[in-house]
Amino acid sequence: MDRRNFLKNLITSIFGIFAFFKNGLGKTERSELSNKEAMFYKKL
Amino acid sequence: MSKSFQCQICPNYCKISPGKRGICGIRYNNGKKLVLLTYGKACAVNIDPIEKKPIYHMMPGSLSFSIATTGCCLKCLCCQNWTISQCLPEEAGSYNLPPEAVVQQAIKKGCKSIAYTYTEPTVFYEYMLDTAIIAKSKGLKNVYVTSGYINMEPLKKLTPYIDAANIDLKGFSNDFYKNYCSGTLKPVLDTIKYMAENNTLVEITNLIIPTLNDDMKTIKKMCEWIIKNTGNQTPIHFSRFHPMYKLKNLPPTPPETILNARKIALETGLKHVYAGNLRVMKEGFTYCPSCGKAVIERFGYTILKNNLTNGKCNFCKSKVKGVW
Repeated sequence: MDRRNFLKNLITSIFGIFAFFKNGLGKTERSELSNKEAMFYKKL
Repeated sequence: MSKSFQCQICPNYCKISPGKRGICGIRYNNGKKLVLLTYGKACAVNIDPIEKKPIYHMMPGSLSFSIATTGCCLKCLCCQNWTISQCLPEEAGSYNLPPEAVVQQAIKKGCKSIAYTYTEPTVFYEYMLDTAIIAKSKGLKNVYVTSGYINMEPLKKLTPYIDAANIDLKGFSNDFYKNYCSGTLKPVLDTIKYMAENNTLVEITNLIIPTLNDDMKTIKKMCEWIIKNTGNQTPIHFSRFHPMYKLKNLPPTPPETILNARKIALETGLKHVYAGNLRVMKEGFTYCPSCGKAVIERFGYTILKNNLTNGKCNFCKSKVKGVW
């Protein structure tokens, strides 16, 4: 087995778990959201 | 006068009154225009092996910079990322990550591609498209991990920038889509066909759920459709279901069901059939469609051996479909 590749993937996964918990616990204020105009819509 | 809009991004065609959002929760009528609330606001950012998408036929062993925002156009009862796909952007944390920053970070971290994944990238379309355009100009590949629930016009604009797509074919009946995903089957088939015909590497994932979509006759029909419409070298991943979200009452898929589906797909004529979410060895290998020898040996997300040179089998020199 490619040990270097295995370790690389393992470390990536550990960081992924941390990121998941960080994201899961956070909140975003409504004022922080974007107002980018959508590309595909029509007026009714 | 009320200024209601109809969103045209996905087959839901949400009619959105001022101050309201579409089904996805992130496309919002602010009274003047329809806006995307999560442009540049990624709620999930990870560096994943490309095999995790799963994409097996593009740059094996490479890393993919993976992003998502909240929201989805479907309501799958088995969603494995429901904590971010089925919530509003205010309910999740987010990173301020505009398209330029995504590409910059991907290059800095040594990633070969950017994956739009985890939730449904179709609903954060503008963010994905802008990022994909910059990524392509910098030599990165783009990976679209999707339910395929998108309308043709936005799909046509997006496809030239997408190198590989993993499209979920969740079942092969309209009833399944209606009852368990709040969607319909046809738009998904149209997406698969269009992308396969337009130079995008398409890989298909089929999550097999006990009693709901594990009928082998239907799986055979699905495989026949894939061969007829996209060719026999389209990779398909049969994935094992684990009790999740609103389907906790069902057991995990028995491994033999996955292996049986794989056998049927191979008998039907598909050349690259993988067993997913299972700890298997040879059922996760890529075999040369001509000589039958293993050209890529992998275990989980790890590449054990790569017997391809410039996309050709080292044993018989035949071409294997993919972006190598």
